[in-house]
Amino acid sequence: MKKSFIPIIISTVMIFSGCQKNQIYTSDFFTMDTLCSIKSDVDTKETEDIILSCNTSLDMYSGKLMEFNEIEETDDAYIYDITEKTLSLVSLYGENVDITSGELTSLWGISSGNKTVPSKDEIRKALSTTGYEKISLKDGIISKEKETKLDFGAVAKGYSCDLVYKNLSDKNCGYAIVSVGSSSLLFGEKPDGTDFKIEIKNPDGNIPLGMIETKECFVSTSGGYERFFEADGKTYSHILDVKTGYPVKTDIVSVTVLCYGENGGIKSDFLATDIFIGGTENLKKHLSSADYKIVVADENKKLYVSEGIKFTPYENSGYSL
Amino acid sequence: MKLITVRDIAIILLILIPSIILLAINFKDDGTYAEISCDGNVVKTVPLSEDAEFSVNDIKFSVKENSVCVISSPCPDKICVKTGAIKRNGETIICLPQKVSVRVVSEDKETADIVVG
Repeated sequence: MKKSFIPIIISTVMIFSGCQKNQIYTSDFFTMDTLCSIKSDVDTKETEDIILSCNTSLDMYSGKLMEFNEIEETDDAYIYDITEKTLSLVSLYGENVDITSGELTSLWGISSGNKTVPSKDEIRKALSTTGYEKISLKDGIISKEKETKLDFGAVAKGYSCDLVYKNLSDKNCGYAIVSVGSSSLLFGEKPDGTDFKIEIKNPDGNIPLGMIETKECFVSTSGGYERFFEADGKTYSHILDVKTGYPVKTDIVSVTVLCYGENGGIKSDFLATDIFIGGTENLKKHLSSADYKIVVADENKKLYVSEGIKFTPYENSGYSL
Repeated sequence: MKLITVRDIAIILLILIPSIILLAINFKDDGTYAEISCDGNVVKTVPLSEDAEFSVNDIKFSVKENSVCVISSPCPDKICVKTGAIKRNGETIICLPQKVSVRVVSEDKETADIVVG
């Protein structure tokens, strides 16, 4: 056979077997005290950098927030911005989520790995440092009392999704799924044009609670079952109640919140924790809200689902409407 | 002159056979797999269809009945062990102290894009 046939054969083979799908980039990494994963039709590097720089400013146990927690003032743009946005959510939804509870978080050893049950005196002391009146914002400077420690654990993951959303919009990205632990961004439209499918884990079984089908959105979850520790024969949730100083007592076992559009990330993150702490007695106003949607499961295996959300509960999950 | 020569057939086969093999390789990923990552980099991929036991970073894994779970880990809080078995596309087990994660990956179109909660 003549040599000139070989390139023709090779290229024909490539055409026949080819039709490579559109390139999808993926990336997994650990930061913000959780696993982050990115899947996108644009390079993931910028998204990674955004999440990593959020962590540099907002992690309680390293970087800028750790420094600020020892002093009274900072001009860190991330700390200022996330505080400002949290304050506006607090004015809308109340103070269940308290970013001034850092002293309490450290005391309970949440995120630091040192898990102990503190004494009543220690808790009383930590509680005296909390409260939104302890912080103020002015002209790019955030001030607080020296003893007050900020903890953005309930909002930072969602906030980082907001920054990613802005960047992806600017870049005209077509499609991305970005998870920062318990908060995620489902961006744009899937290559096959179908809705995004979100499955909600079962808090105590193998069959998921059900499937949500949705257009672009932010989704955040909260639940007491995933992070906990046991001490003196009791099980403790990682979410603290700033009214009592103890891990929160709630009849809700799983909260999923969907928000849409700009700043939906921090809002969904905030609301997931807020609704979890509030319990089923405070659900009514959330179920009827027009601008965000929720799926909640309580300890009596009942599901609560917002109007206007496409949610299909799975049979045999043990939970029902 | 013959319509088809031996050489023509040889060329057709030379094109067809590698094409089919490459296509088969592309379609092979139909099953469900567990991807085990260390610090974000995939270090091991195992099919959930075959029962197996193995270790990554001192964490012991078991694949059984189309699901994967962590049997033991040197980490202090054992959240990875408590997570239990996972089998659905997108589900993860995370061990923060060891920086190890396991993700179920499936090519099935009907499965979820993301598992939350």
